[in-house]
Amino acid sequence: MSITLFTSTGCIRCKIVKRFLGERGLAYAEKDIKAEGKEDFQKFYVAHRKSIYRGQEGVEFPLLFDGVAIRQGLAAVTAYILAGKGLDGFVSVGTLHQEWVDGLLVSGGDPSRAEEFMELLRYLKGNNMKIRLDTKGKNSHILSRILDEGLAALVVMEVPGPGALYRRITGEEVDPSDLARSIALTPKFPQYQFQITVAPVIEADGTARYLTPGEVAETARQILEITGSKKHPYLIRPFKPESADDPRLKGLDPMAVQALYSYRTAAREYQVLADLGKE
Amino acid sequence: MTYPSVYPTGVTIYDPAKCWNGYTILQAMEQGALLINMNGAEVQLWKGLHGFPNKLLPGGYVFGSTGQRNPSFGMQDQRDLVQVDWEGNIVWRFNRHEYIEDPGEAPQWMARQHHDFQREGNTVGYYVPGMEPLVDRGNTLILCHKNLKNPKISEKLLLDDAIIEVTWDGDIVWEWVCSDHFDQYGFSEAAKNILARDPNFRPSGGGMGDWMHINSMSVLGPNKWHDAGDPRFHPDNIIWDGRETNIIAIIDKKTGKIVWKLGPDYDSSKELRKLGWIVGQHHAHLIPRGLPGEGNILVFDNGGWAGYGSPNPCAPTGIKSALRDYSRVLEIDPVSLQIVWQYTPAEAGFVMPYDSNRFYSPFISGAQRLPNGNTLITEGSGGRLIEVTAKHELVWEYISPYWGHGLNLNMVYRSYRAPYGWVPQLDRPEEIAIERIDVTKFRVPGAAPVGRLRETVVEGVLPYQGGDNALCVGQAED
Amino acid sequence: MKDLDELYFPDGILYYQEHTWAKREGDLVRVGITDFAQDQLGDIVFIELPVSDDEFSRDDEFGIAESAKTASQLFIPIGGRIQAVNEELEGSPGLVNAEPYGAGWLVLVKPYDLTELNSLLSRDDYIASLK
Repeated sequence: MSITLFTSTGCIRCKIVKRFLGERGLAYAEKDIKAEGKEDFQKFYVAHRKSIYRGQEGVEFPLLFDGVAIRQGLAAVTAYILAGKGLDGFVSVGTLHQEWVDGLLVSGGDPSRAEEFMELLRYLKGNNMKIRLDTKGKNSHILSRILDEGLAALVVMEVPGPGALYRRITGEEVDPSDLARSIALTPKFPQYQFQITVAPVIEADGTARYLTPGEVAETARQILEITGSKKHPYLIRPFKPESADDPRLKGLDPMAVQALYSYRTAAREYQVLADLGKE
Repeated sequence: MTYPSVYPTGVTIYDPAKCWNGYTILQAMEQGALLINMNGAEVQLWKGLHGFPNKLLPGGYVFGSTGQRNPSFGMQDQRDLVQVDWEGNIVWRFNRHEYIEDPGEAPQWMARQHHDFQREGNTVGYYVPGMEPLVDRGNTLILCHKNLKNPKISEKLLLDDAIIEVTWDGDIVWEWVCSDHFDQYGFSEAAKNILARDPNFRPSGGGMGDWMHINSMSVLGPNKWHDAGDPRFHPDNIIWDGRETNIIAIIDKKTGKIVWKLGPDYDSSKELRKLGWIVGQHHAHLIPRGLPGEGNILVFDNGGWAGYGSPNPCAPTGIKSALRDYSRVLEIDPVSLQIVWQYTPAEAGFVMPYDSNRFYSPFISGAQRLPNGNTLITEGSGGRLIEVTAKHELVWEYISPYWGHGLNLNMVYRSYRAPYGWVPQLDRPEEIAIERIDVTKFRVPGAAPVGRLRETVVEGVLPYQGGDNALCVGQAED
Repeated sequence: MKDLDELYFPDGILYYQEHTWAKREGDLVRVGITDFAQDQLGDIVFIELPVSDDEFSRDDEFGIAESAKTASQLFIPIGGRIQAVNEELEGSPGLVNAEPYGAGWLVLVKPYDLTELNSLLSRDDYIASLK
């Protein structure tokens, strides 16, 4: 399968990917969208427009297309070159730029692919990128290895809610001890943040309702209990119904900012630095 | 300003027939919250109760705070806001705004309150007929501090201003942060440049920029402008003023956006040029419905030094670029920007500009409209409280007798007049007129009495020429 | 991106604050985007336009222009019914960059009310609005 790599003149992230391809002896056709690749990119864009990710700063580059899959952004493209779809779940398109790389979700991927994920992180760090990792609690053993090797500059841990509600919020099961270990590890990174999205909980009858202030406070208390500290950065974020896939969640009314203050008051019992995220 | 070394304190002038009589509450330097009657008798001191400011409530309650954060770490942060009864019991308290751990101090929650607050029921924190503040329930708006960085303003840490609304139970239910709206303030490029370099950097806590320095915050309440269809003046909207920027602004409570503004510059329209620069102002608020002048903005326009702009001889870097050596109390129509009423050195009877600084407080201060049309003015730096009629007659004057040891000033931040009925614990006091002393005849013990021992006539001398053209400095209009 | 004095704003057409232009051609009005708009967008890779007979009021969104850098809504300077759409742009959206006032036109409109043109901006007023 032939690889086409769309790049942009002067894009350092594109250079890192090209070096990675070169090191693996993989052939590819580079199309610089600001130079000789302008027309090719235009044709490609029209053909695949709905599948192309556009962030706040436009289409994310580098963009790799092998006839099967489109991957965008430094982390996602490198992961695909390294392991095909094997690292899907760990990696998505990032939004950060300059020296930062994100879109890396420790808890999102298949733990049997941990070695490849570690290789990806080492490569990114080795190219002077600062890595932001996200986690929702699973795969704490991978997080531990990342800590030991000093690979991540920033870890953002989303603790979705009290352990008992985890499945009803995320749709997944979690081993409580795995979650607890991730919570304990997070503050050990050079920069970190805990956060919670005031997300919908699916009730037994299938309806959805938002987490309550008490449940957000319980989550904050859980962090206090595990880490022994109530002074962690703890962000409370509003849920965006429009971004949900589940139609039950899409139809929910978004929560007004004013409504979030009671969550903050409740959470501050256990995490005194709790504050509201703007997005 | 020219102050004699020796002068009387307490009440020095009092015309009971022309005053709006009641109690006056003030924070007496290093004493506490002091309540005086019209003759200056100190009818109650809540000893040691801080206040920034103190406000009286019906039933003999007073607002204040139990202390200030160590200034080494915070600037003007009151650690809480408390409501205290006549006997000194704290009946309500809020402090859960931020958890503070200062070196060498006990970790604690703090309100970080400063300069103002408002209790539901009353929009401005002073007596308005038919608008009683709630004393046993209701929400409170609190002006507080928040430290943050905002690269649009400066790379330095900022001491930002925030307004929070808290329930009786202490839940924060609304918040507004000043620097979020930086783009709406209309700063010139020169102002932005100097703001970035020096956002009024103060040394507390390792250094923080007190860039806006909001010093008053109140609710508009029902008003004629909104009744006439102007949404900027929605009764829930909040008016505040920033001392360092010379800005007076109204924010939309729903969106937080600035919907009306004066400043930071006062030279961009004919109306603003006629209004003249408002510099370092305090206590800007909308006169509430029920008081004479309702719907107009009342403000103590300090003068002094404030604003961000281009460098000039008195402001070499451009910070505190607007200067004036006298104060004005202005009542302004917020739509036409006409001055409806004012009290300046001219109305006070001083010859301008030569003697302008006789009415001058470059910081703190305030103005309260009274139900009979008089205005209670706090000329704060000299601890002088005065009541003037609509025709500018001075009918009451009080000078605070309390100088601080930590700060050698008898300053009064802001005082308020309240009706006798708000203090049911006391009988209505006697009101004894105090006639204005003729200072040309008043002598202290030991000084020679009035009158000359000898008078000699000199032939051929001309009478003295009057008029200000005889002086070596000109008028502002020259 | 170019400085203002490097951009081109011809006489003989009217301009809209949302960076579209309108040119009267008899009882029809041709609409496109200005040189400023195309310069801000960069190389356009896709334009979504309405179809003939679609109807719009003035200031309605009538399309989207996309480049690698950004996606920008297009707002119509005059209300009316779409008479024609520039079919060339489907294969060559770059025409809008190259000739924004010529071959890169977007739609031809049969206006409901030609007097709406009176409130559009002259060349000088539009340039002043960009400063």
